[in-house]
Amino acid sequence: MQRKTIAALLIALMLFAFIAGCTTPKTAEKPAVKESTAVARTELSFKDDLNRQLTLSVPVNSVVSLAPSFTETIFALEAENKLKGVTNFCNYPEEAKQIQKVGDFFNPNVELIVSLKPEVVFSVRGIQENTIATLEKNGIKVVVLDATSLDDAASDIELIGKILGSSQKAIEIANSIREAKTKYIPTGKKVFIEINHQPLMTAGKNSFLSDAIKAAGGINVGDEFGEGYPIVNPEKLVELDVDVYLISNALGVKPEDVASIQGFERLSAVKNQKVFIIPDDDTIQRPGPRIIKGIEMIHELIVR
Amino acid sequence: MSSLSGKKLRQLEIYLFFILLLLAVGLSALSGRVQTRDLFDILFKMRLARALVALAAGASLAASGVVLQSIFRNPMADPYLLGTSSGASFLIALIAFTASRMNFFGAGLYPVAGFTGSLLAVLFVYLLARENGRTPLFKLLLTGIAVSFLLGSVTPVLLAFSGRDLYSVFFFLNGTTQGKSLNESILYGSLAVTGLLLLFLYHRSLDFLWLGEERAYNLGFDFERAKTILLFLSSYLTGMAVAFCGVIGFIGLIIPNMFRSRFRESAFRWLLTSSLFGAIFLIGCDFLARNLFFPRELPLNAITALVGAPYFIYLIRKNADRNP
Repeated sequence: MQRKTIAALLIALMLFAFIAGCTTPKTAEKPAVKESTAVARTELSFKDDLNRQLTLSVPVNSVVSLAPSFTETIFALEAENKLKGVTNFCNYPEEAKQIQKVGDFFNPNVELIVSLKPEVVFSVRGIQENTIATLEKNGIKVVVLDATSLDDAASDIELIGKILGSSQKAIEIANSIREAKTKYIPTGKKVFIEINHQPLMTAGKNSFLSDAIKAAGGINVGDEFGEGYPIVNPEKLVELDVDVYLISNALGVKPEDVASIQGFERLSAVKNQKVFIIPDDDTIQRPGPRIIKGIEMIHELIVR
Repeated sequence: MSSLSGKKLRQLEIYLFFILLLLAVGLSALSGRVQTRDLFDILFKMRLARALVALAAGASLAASGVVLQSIFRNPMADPYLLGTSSGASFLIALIAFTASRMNFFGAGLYPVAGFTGSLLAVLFVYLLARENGRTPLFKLLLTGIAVSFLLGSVTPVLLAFSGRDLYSVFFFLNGTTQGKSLNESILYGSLAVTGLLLLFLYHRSLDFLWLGEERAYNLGFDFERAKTILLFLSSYLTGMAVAFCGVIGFIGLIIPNMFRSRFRESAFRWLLTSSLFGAIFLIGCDFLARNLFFPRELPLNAITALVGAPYFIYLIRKNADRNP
């Protein structure tokens, strides 16, 4: 008797799972495309940073941002009324905190995103690739943008502008980023930026931060250690020497901690007390419109 | 070789390890890919600081592994079995979380938090597993695994609630010998050696532990007391290692296994060879991490696993039919 009951329950459960499994995609397959047809739409065809050819009918009316830089860009384009969801890393501007959170940068909540029925989701590469696949299985278009230079940041902002129908504003911001690249004359100072203390990590060749340091008039010492975000051999750093040592403010590391590393007493930056905590490193880490301020801030630290 | 008795050979082996250890420290402190002559004294101190940290951590973790494998009589036991690493990361994340809320810098507290977290986790496990003044092994083991999972699941929740600031915590716990002054290294070295010496005082108890609970009791041995003392001594060693260099994997598992079959009849020797070779092994791995893809360094844990795992597999295959 009991066994039969259990078997019946199991079959019921399987049927339920089957039905649930069949119906979910169906409801999700109709995103809210036909919401407003006030503005005439045009086809926009482009390649994103996963090298995929995408075609969107623009301007779109609802988007979700999965990175703080996109959120800041969308606000700068004054298109925040189209922004339906952000991550809880999106802390700027203040109004961004009022928008529906869809989880954090590393773990966006796919169900929540789907339920917001965005026409487009903006996402970064790498860490979010699992989410991208799941979203696309649910019929949502994902645009993947991953800026590794100031030029990338500028052209990404232009693309976001086209997608949201705020091209004019976007071109203005993009151009001011391009101008910021050559605003400061090189100072010849060797700048090191610490993004992790133990083991010591920095921004290497072809990274956004490296580009920002160059724009601020510094030489990025991190370039000597390879691409991306390398772990640094401290002996080599002592050999290369550093004039200005910058610490990411999210680390909780103080200048004294840097000075206490064996051998670092030898660095010019330590000797001349040029070890600084970056006051607000969101501005230089995020490839958004605030990078112009970020470059200014780094320049001030370099010449201080 | 055949003229040497097994015992003599093993004695020689211990001397050899002592010499090898001195050589490893010397080589690691004297060589590297930066060749500038006028920097030599600076570089020597930098490398020596790292070699000392690697020595202390390697010996501590290997010794800790010997203790846990003896207590549980299980070759799969390692220093992190009873929640030391998850306890450390939990407390560090908690401090960072509070720090980010209250706007003060927490990083200076990480080492203290790492040590305290490791010990508290083991204490918690120990008290949970206790019944009628005893802590049965299987209960200790299962509670340890459960508490590890529990703490391991709370940490990501803390991280999820605190935005970007806390992700440096993850990196902090990646094993590394970097970032210490020579004085700090010497301090850590002495703290670790003190723990190791205390552990060696209890080597007799380790012998009894291998006999198993029941037989030890029949011989009038206070199993419970020995187990408690050894457990906390090994947690002290592991906690110190986590506090100073984050979580370094694999050493505490593989090194004791390398010497178990040959030196098991004497816990003292097993402990001694494992500590010595643990130190040599970590100094070697650190050397590779520093120099293999110079000037970029490799994560230390990648090297310990990369070097250790193939040898471990060989060991398992070789000993499969000989060892229970």
